[in-house]
Amino acid sequence: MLDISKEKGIPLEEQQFDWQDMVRVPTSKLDDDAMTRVRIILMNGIEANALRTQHAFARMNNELRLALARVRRVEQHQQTMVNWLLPADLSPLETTIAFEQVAIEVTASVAQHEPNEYMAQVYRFGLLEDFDHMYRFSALMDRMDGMDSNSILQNYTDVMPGRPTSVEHRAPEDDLREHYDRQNAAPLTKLHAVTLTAGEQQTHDYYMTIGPMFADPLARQLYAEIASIEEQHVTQYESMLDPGETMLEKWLMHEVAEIYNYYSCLQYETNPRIKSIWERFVNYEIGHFHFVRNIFEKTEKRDISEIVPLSLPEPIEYTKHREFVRQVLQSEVDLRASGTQFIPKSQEKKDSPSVKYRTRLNSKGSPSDIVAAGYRYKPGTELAEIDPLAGGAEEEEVA
Amino acid sequence: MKKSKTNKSETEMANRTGVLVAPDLAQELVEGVNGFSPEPQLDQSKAAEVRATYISEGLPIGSEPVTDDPDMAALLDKLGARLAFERSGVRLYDALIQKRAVLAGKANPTTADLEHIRDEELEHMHMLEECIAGLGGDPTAVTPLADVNGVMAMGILKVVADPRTTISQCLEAILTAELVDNDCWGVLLKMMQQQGLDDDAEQFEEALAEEQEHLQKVRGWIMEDSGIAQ
Repeated sequence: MLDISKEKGIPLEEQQFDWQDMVRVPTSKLDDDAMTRVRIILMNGIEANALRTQHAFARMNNELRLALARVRRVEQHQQTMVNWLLPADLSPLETTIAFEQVAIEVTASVAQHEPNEYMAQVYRFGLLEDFDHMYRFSALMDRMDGMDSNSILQNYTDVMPGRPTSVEHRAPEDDLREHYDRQNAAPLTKLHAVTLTAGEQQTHDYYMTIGPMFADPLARQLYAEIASIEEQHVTQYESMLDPGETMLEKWLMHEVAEIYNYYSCLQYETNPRIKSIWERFVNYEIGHFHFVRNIFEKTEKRDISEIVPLSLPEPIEYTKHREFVRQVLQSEVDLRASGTQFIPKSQEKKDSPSVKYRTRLNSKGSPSDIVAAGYRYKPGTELAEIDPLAGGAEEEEVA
Repeated sequence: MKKSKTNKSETEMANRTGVLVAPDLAQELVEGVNGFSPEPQLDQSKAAEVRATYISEGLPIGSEPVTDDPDMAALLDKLGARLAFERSGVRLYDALIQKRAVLAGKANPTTADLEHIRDEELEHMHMLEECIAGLGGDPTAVTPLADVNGVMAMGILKVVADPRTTISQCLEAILTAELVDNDCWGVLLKMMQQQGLDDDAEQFEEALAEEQEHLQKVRGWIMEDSGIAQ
């Protein structure tokens, strides 16, 4: 595995761009592998999170402002290069389907590799909610646009109900989770929490940006509803981060998370044009890591090996996780949150804050229930007559 | 970190959108769907109820130009829409001309063919500006129909502007624009005649004839491109 303490990467001052370099010919919606799109979307989220976190630090620390601004400028250009790989023919709703595929496949990989059982449970809990969002958005795409979400998903990801979105609405006190302990947590636990927080926050921000672009009132309601859940997910995942970490400790961990994620992308990428970008940015992030490491060691006078993994753990797996997701679906779909813990829905009290909260929100109907009422995914949309997998018309098959 | 090697086979690209690209995976998907999803029900009356609530509020997308005469307001709305459409049409042909120039070759349309249409679209735009101003309207105002036309044209402009689309794909997009344009000029001409605006109507007749010629040409290029003898 990559030993980041030995790798030099590319020094910050040599990390340069021009507009043509930054704005490449995008990927193909039709021809590129869905997992390439998944990686692009996740890495956009990772970079957006780097900017967001570094801005928050700058607002609270005068000494670090210049150093933060220098790194942030490069992160912003990296984010541009990555995000601009999405093509113009990928509509906001198609991009939404791809965002949910990111949430499902990346969270499934994280949940299976997470060494802390409580944290793994949190990821499985969140996974079943994003899984349901995929079903609701697919129903919207089919019924509003007459389009098949599997043309984006490329058979990797299931389209079926998860924990119903209408019951995912919780009071804030049921969205907070226990955080990892910065001194005892496995490095992978820290990297997972940073990664999922980043992914969910970009999903929230994306839905908040594109929701008003839809004309259909039901689509506007559905985006409003699911954006609200994504905000809950950000609350959930960010509460897993130890608030006792110093600012520099957090910055360092975020840079390692960026290396880890680009490195994971590099291991799985099949498009050589995109692979070279992941490779370049692993080296850029190693450069950022050393830049922050110097500041950290001078300021905190601590050894970084106390905080970050010098050798990167196993990469995130960019593949289908169908069997795992179905297994979780069968065993955990009826879990609900109570404080920081999870309980069967039979134990959820009718006057609990979350039940009261969601009863109020859903009092005039639930957009996610309405959009997918009686919806069952079918290749070619629910209007199709031909079953291409059967090799002919369904009617003929029956006859 | 050392440079990674790229496998040559990885550079091969093919369309991956259909279920038959990976029938085994698709079969798994469908089996799971049938086991975990509700019985299919195409009835969408609940969705229709939600939409009805908003439709019933009756708020418009925007207001027609202010004038005492409702017929004139309707005419100015239509004129504003044509003006916006012709203005975008100029930019649409500009984009196609640029693409044609880069993708050199002998196939029709030539750059000169496209420039001819583009120049006529610009003339129509100027004629409409004059007409609106002459009727006391504001040629810079976005009328409701102009706005709706703009929404319709979003996809057309996007197709032509995308550097990855071919001339042939762009012509399909332009055909959509020319078909709409033809019919709308016809409606506009009749409205002008009904309101007794004969001088303007005469000019509009000329514009309609030119638009009909544009449509014929675009249809012909598509036929030619599709290998259909004419």
